[in-house]
Amino acid sequence: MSNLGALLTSNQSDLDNAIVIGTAERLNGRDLLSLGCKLPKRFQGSNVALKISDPLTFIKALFALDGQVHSVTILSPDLSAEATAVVMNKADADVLIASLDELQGDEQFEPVRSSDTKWRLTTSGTTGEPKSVVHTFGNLVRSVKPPRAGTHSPIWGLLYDPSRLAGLQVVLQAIGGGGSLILSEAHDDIARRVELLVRQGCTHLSATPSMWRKILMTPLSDELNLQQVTLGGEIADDRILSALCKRYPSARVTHIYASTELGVGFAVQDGKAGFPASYLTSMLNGLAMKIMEGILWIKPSNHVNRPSAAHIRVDDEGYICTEDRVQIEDDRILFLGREATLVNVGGVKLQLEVLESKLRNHPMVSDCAFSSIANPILGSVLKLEVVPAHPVEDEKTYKREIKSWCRENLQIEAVPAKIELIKEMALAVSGKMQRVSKCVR
Amino acid sequence: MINLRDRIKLVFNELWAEDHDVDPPELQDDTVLLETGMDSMGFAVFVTMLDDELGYDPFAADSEAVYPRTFGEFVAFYGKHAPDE
Repeated sequence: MSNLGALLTSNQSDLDNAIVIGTAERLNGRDLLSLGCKLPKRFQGSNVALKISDPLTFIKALFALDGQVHSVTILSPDLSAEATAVVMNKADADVLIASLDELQGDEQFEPVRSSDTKWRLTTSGTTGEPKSVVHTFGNLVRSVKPPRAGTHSPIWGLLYDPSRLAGLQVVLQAIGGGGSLILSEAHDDIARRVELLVRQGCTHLSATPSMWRKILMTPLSDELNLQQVTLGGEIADDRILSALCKRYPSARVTHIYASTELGVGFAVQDGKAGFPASYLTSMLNGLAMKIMEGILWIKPSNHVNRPSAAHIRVDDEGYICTEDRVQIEDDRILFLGREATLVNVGGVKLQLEVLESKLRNHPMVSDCAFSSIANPILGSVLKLEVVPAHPVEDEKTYKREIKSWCRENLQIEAVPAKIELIKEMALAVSGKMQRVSKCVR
Repeated sequence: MINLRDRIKLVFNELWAEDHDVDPPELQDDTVLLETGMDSMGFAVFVTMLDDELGYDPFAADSEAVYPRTFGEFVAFYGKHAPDE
């Protein structure tokens, strides 16, 4: 599969069906395919950057450009002007498209689908400047499942920003899987977005574990009739997986391992955290994996499809460093967290995600986030932000209970020096939890 | 308004009660901090709690590495860096 148009025509059974369902506009297959025919000639073979916040406009722009331009650099709408300039410079992109108006003009041409447009994606950029990675279309659609005979067309809900890998995957899966896609307004709160998904009959939904926790706390989520529940972007622990299996008994619950660096990785569907250790010895989805010094390294099989970027660590054998720390437990590989969230408190290394996963078992805790704060005695100590499961009458007693639980169930260094009660977890544009790190010094 | 010494003592006692069933030690000027029964993790938390309670962290404000040994030195160090009111 070489481009969006081909993906659509070969997998959508009826081009008159609505495929993209926006809040104000619906697009069928013909609408989408016609977009590529309207592109002014000056864009042909150029390097274009897209920075569009409205998902419908974004998808339209992709259809207009894919297969016609040399490369599309996809930028997060919240990327600063400075970072935008850096990424565009690196990508040799000379045009920045922020709206569809900029893609119009008189000098239209008969499009020739050159089919080899390079897609450049940027990482979340939560730490430092955003990094960008070039993918081929083939690499991005590697895991897209074609429609299955005898099943209903999937109705995907898009909760992610489509400019990120996870969101783009949902868009491609909906189009290439013979289904449709419900768009929602990113600035709406989760309750409103869930309400829209219920109303539009969403059957397939993909979100980060942090987003899923919020969804499960939304009363209307009971009315979602899901056949597919997909988690990605963060560690899916046993607790969230079993909560989702219980809430959506007829859904298949899948957690995806993917990263901007690697593109699509692999999917796990047995409802348990981590992945089977057998994946290390058998090639899965064309990927080879190994663990070095506690870090997972993955090698995409097809060298042609390998994403490229300067910041990616690749070893002599072609394995890419995922920067994810893992641990082997019996016949299971469990994710511990990112290399960057390994915090040293008084000489003891603490993986923040592991602590969070344990504390979420506390009946008084709905969600939580650890971060490190500078400390003159130990270098750093932990701060905890917690969303209480029930209304708290006495904050002091609540905090004392949480601290005492941490003292009994975690290492002493993991006992938070500071606890803040918050109403809800702040999520980044990527849908991932935002750890607030306050530097005291 | 209670003085700085007593505010620091109150925070110390509050932290002590979280982790101990016995009464906190009596803090005198010549009490050696590391002999109070509070370990370095405890002191790290203590300093963080004081930052919240008093609104400043003298360790961050002082350009030199300072290690108060007695409670008297500790209080004096906080007093030296107290913001003007």
